Amino acid sequence: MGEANALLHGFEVALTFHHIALMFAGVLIGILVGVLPGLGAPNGVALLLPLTFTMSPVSAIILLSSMYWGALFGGSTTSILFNIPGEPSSVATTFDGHPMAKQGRAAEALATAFLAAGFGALVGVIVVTLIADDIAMFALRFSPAEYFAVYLLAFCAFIGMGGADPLKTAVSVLLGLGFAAIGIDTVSGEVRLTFGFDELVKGVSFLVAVIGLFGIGELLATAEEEMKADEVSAKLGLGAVLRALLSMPRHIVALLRSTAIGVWMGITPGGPTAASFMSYGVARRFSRRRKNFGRGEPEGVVSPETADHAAGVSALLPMLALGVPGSATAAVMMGGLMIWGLQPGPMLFQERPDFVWGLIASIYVANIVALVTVLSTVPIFAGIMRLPFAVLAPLILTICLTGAWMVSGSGFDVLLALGFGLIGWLFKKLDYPIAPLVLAMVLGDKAEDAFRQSMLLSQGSLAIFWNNWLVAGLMAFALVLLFFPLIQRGFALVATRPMKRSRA
Amino acid sequence: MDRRVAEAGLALLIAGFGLAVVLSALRHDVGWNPTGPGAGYVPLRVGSLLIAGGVVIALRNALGPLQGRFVTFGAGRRILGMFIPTAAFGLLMPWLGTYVPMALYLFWMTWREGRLRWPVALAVALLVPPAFYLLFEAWLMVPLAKGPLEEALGIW
Repeated sequence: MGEANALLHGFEVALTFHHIALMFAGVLIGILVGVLPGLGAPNGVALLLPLTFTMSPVSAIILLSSMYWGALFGGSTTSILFNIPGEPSSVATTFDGHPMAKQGRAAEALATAFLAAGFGALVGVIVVTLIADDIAMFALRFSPAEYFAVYLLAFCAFIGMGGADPLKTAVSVLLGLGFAAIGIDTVSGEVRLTFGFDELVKGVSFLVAVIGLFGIGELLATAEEEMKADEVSAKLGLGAVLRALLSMPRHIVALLRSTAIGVWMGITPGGPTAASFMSYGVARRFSRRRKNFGRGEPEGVVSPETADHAAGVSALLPMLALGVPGSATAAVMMGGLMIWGLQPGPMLFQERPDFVWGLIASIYVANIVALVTVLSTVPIFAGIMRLPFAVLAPLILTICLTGAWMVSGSGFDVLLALGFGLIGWLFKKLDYPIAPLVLAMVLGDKAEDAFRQSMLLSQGSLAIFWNNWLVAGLMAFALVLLFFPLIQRGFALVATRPMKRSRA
Repeated sequence: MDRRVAEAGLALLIAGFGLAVVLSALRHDVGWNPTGPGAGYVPLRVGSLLIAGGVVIALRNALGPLQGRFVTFGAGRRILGMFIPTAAFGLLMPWLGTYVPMALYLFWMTWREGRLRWPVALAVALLVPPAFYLLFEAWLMVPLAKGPLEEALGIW
């Protein structure tokens, strides 16, 4: 019962007045960030991160992770009420959530979404509690070769399972690796890829990239679409919450299936966005009520929401235990860990159990805080969306630009953020996924170091990546995921051929 | 402009970045040495793959069918109407500090783009910068960019 003791100790850390106050603050900022277009969980965390440098790491991670939960809840609010997803991961919630709201069932849709999300988050954190320690213990045996294989696995999972065009995803990963390589090479100390700019010696901060890609890029995309809030009023009484709660058992199959999808996609980096789309897609194909999907079916709200939150929570597991974040937001948080001087990975469980278990315990508490807060404050936050976009956008852009300055007090960073904003807009327009780029930027140096250390150990022989069952298994799994789209196409060909033959 | 032109353009831009990465990696050790792969080893390969990926995407679009218009005129105007003032704000920040460009930017955006009446826009422009000062510098103690006005006022 090592986990139970550790978790109890974690609750001692999490349940102090200071930390509960931070959870409330984090959740409130998170809901705000989730509701506002152009501000989402990843760049919300990126903007808040410079403000945590003076806090203790436990307090800082509690603030940031609570913000993440708040943002996940906030994102689905606008999906349902305004048909505008506040977060990419709540796009799938608009399909049935907004039709429900238009039929006058807004309260039911909101309550269903929040309760389903709470269920997903709860199961996600229980899974994290049960297996985090074991995974960390397992990972203690990793040598640099295994680490490289795990990083490769993360990149390949995005390419094969992320849902976007595999080639564009691969390009996105490679761009992230390229940006990560800029600046001082951690192994040799040489300054590389500065293209003649002195400012690039310190490298490109992933925080600046996230603020530009997610924040400025998103706003440019929204400006283009001439955001029309298709508004439905948001009143959420206790009665609606109770009715939604009572109807939850009817959705038990959808809840369990979506949680499984979410946890899986969170741990093998696919991220909440891919998880929610996949869960909605699976539900539409297999649900008994599939005919109603797209016309205001509660199960169409339950499925993406549950998977979204289950993935969001479980994405922290590989971040803590392996040092491989499972979503873009987790990647930004992991970058924060490194800035605070912590090394994410199995040693963290040995060296800083208070940090690890304080965070895990806080996930339980903060999600309850978030659920209660979001249920009681929805009308207030929905009111913000009544401000015209053309007034809201410059305010958010002002926050983005000052946020980019705050990263290191450099004007060059502000220009970089603007550049990344243009890239983010183009990526969104042309269907390149952004999360893999961020993940690769955070992991780039670590992946390269692991590769070069492995090569040093094997004196230049690539066979080190196949010389024991563990590393070989990881490499093989990575390759299977990388070529998954091709394999899938192959199966489809084989499956259709006999039919053609029988017709002929 | 057709969407595939934009697709091909971005892909070629990516390939161009790949080329820049390759060229600058070649200035370093790109092979094996006693301490393992050199500083240019990984960037050379990443850059080469970027060139390959970019060229393939560009060709795929150049040879493919038309895909419809990339941006409509009105949408392009709205995007530039937002991006150009924002970029100007960012460019001015290191020279004039955060607050003066912020006020000008907010006034311009809320008055011209947001179509607020000018007294309201002026109020937004004059009230938000002090709020930023109180929140970030006074309370959270994170310094923002300072310019001649801040210097004259003795806020440093």
